[in-house]
Amino acid sequence: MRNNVLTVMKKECARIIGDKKLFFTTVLLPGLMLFIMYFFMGTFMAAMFTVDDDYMYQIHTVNLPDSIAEIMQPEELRLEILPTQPHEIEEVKARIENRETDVLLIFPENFDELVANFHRDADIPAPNIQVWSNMTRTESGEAGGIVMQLLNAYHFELTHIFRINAPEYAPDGRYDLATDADLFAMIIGMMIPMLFIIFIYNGCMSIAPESIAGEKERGTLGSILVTPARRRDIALGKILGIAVFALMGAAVSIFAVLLSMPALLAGMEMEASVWEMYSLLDFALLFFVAISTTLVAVSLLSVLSAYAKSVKEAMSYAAPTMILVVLAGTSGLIFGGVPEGAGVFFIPIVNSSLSITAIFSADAINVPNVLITIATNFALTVTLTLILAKIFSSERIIFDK
Amino acid sequence: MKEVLNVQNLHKTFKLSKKQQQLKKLPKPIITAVDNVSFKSYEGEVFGLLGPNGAGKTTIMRILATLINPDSGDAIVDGCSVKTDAQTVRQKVGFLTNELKLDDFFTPNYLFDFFAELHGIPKDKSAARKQELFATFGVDNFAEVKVGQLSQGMRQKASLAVSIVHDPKIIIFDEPTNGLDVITAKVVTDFLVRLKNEGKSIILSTHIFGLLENLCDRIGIIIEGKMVACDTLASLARSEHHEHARDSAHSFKTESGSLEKIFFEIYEATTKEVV
Repeated sequence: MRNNVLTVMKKECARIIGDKKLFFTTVLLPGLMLFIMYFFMGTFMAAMFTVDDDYMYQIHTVNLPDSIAEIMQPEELRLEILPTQPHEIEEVKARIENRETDVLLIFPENFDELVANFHRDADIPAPNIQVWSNMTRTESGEAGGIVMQLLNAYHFELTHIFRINAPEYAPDGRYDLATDADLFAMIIGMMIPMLFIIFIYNGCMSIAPESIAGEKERGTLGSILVTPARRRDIALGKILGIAVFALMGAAVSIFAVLLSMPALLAGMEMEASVWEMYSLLDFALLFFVAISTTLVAVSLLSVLSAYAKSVKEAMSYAAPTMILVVLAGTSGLIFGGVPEGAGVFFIPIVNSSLSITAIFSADAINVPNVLITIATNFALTVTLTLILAKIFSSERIIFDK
Repeated sequence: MKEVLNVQNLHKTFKLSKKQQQLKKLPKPIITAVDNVSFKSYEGEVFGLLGPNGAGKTTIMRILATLINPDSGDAIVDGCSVKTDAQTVRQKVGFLTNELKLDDFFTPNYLFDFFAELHGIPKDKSAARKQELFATFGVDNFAEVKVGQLSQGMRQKASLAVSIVHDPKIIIFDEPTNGLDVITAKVVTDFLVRLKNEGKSIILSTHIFGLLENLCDRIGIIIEGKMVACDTLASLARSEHHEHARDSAHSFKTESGSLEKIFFEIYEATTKEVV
């Protein structure tokens, strides 16, 4: 029995290895796509959202009071003050809009005097400072943020009513207790499951219909069915043979994600190490979730393909399931995180998506729920294999042309 | 001669879709493909199955190859039932049909080994068998060429070799010379004679009357799922046929002559249609 499973499995493997195009699209392409996507995403973000260390922010000022000029002086702020006349305001605004310069600050005349004489009870509006910037220009957005911070700090200094996040309580200047690693884990915990599951499923979609419906269409499946090999062995051999390559594809995808993470981290200006963020247990769980998910995808697509008369028809059956897979891949977003209850981990693909989210997120993993995922997926694979074996015995399905 | 195949009241129906039912103008969405067919086959005998397309020959052969199950009746292959012991039957039957093909992607060499493994043949035995069969059919010359790149004749030779990899007792051939050039067809027919001489039981379905006349010891004529005549060519020529005709009152006698003539006489009498 075992020999026949191996024999059929070997043939499936030989078929895929021998077809360079199929091997590339199944095993290498998903990982390559993931790497390229994440790498460029990181590089793009780095290019888009960071400003050179020696860049001087151009701050055009109208009626700049001495008080503000003083707080804008420190060299480390890298603010280049450009005094501007009222008649030049529209011209500077146009330059900001065209992303040619950074910020325009307009103070009322005699700002310091107006502030000093301002009474809250008086029926006169408080003096207003206009800060013009353009968020679509990284330098302008950054400069606007710096100026706003300075003005807020000055405002609090004048009022003396209360302070927020005074530096003496957080010497490193950070009140946000989330570490870069936490932030990164939260972001990729949302992004990765969907892409990961889609790539696994897509890899299976390029082999399973060809292996089952293709053989049926070409009349080569019947040649195997007239041998003494048991239908169950043939079904299992086929599923395992396809799964080997889908798993290789998944492994390449995981590797690609890990390789691209430093670029993604750098793009997000985060200091975190993937190897420090995740433990060996995380990787082991991810490995088994990936295997079980692949087996579910392969067996499900094999059963669908067995009902089809041709590869084309099999692909048309598989296409709608891809939509469900995409939806399942976003379970983490739909549920607003990973649910505590075990119930949802009995739903195939959804459980995989949530388990991957849990593994990548910063929260402690609920290991029993991940184990339920793996067990459920393996149980479903066995059931689908038996269904496929049953289909192989069904004359109506096998000879329906 | 030892009996190796005993087909007993084989009956098989197929469900039809509404569209198929309308096309065939049938009152019920069901069609009888094989209607209580019985026959036997012996060691060293070539048994021919003759009938028009859709008569039920392929269905009978599929049942004998255990690809499909009969609704009722049974076929006993060397003591094993196709219904209850299909796996053992598959070890005893070789099936060659245009319907079942070799995978274009692989070479005859790979496929021979693959099917030998599925039949559980030890490697040394399968190597010897491969050498013998490949030499017989001249497959050696293209053993390492992918099936997809072979001509139809080459494919048929490779299919022949692969279909009998396990040295079966009964070999079912469905149109084995279909589409072959005369040289390849001769190789195939010579091999059928050799198999017969080796004591194999051969079930042969073909539309080539000459092939049936030359090779078959007995011929079964199947029309509309029924075995309307089953005998040696000489006996068919002399017989009076009435039992299987649709209208039993319409008995008739075939005149001596060729199988072709006999077949059309029987066909005309059975279906009452002008051929």
